[in-house]
Amino acid sequence: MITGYWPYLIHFGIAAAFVAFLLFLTTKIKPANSDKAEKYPDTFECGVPRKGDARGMFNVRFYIVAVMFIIFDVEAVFLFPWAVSFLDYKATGLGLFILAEMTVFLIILFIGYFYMIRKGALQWEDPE
Amino acid sequence: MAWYQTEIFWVIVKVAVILFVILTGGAYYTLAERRWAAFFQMRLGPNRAGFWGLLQPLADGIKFILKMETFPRNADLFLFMLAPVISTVTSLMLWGAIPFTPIIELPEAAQKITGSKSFILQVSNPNAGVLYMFAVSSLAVYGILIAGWSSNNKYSLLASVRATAQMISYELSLGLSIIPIILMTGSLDLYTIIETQKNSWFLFTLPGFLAFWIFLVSIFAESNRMPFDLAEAESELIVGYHTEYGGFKFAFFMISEYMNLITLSLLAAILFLGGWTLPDFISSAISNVWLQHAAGIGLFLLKAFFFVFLFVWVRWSVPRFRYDQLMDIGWKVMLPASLVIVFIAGIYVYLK
Repeated sequence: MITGYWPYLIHFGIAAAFVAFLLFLTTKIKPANSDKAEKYPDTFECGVPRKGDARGMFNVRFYIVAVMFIIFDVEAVFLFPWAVSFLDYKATGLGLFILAEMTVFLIILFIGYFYMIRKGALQWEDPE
Repeated sequence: MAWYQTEIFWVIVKVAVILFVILTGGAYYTLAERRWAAFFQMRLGPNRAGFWGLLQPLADGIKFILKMETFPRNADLFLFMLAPVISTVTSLMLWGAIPFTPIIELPEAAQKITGSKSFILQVSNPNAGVLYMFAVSSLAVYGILIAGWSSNNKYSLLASVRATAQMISYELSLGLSIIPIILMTGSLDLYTIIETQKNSWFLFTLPGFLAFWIFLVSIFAESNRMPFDLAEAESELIVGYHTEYGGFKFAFFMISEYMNLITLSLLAAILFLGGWTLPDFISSAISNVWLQHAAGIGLFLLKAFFFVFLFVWVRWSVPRFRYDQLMDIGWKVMLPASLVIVFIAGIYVYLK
């Protein structure tokens, strides 16, 4: 049952309004600046003139990390309801059953995890 | 007033109080960090604005407001403005689920004014408070990612990609490290979690003790603090994802980082150190109910304050990791360890 979440809408509204108001306030208070070159400077790259665009390529390993995160986060999603209902199952005498079930789940996960390590998904330097 | 009007009214009052406290707390944490940093390095630190430099956050704030506003020429302006807002709003939202006080029975006179029998300083008590905390805190990644991408600076982009990879890696072990607690409580409700620890903190149970260290390391990495502050490695990436930000937009990033640290400290005190509960031998020694509440809340804030100090202490004591070391610790040590701890906790709860 999902109850008691409506106050967070109010909380969000007040917080967002407060932050937006402060940002608006700073645009009103700060010294007026008509010089375009000063208001819109070039991005800072250690003092030398900027070269090219920042939206280039970056290391593919960050992408692999994101994919692995999805896998393990979904697994954590499965673990949460298991943890919540563990005591209830234990009270009805099914404790060993639910423990064994999660053990199997964890073992399957570990197999995938070791496969991932063996494939070198977490290797940050080149192998040679 | 109808019942929902009173309810909404009290929610607004609580939100206003909480926002005021968290913003002041975050601002003064910046001062505390600078003073303690000076203390560790045998300097004086900021001590000119007011007694002990107590007006320093105010002076900083005024200076942030009065600074000229600049926007990078080739930035995506909408996202550029949106990023600090996301960071700040998420860290402001986090305090909504934290129960600062136990449910206090109000005396007759106060009941008439407030229109309710009891009082608790918590915006709402959802039955999945822990999940709320983790869901909202993981939204903070968007603030950092958007900040780095929209400012169109190579260093910012690299820093934000690094920070994102780091935060999502450690979020796994952070999420898994609280599963032992949920196992022992059988609930996701923060209030129930605190009440279960009345006579023994989760830190002093075997799975809780093991999970605590995972949790501790993970919150350091999650908040981009010192041994793991690869996102702000100033020797490699100018200052990280907020290189292009100045004025109040930078202040938002700064204050949201410190507010997150305070929130994580409170969460650590709630999950492992028993929150505001008093053990029976103390609560039986204090006869007055109000004194009991005051002692409990005081102790809770003291426990949280220990973690607040720990963040600064570690920052000025431990050098930074290399990026591949950071990822190796996250994926090859913390993640398997937290999975094993989940298994140990399952056996522990089954045998108990």
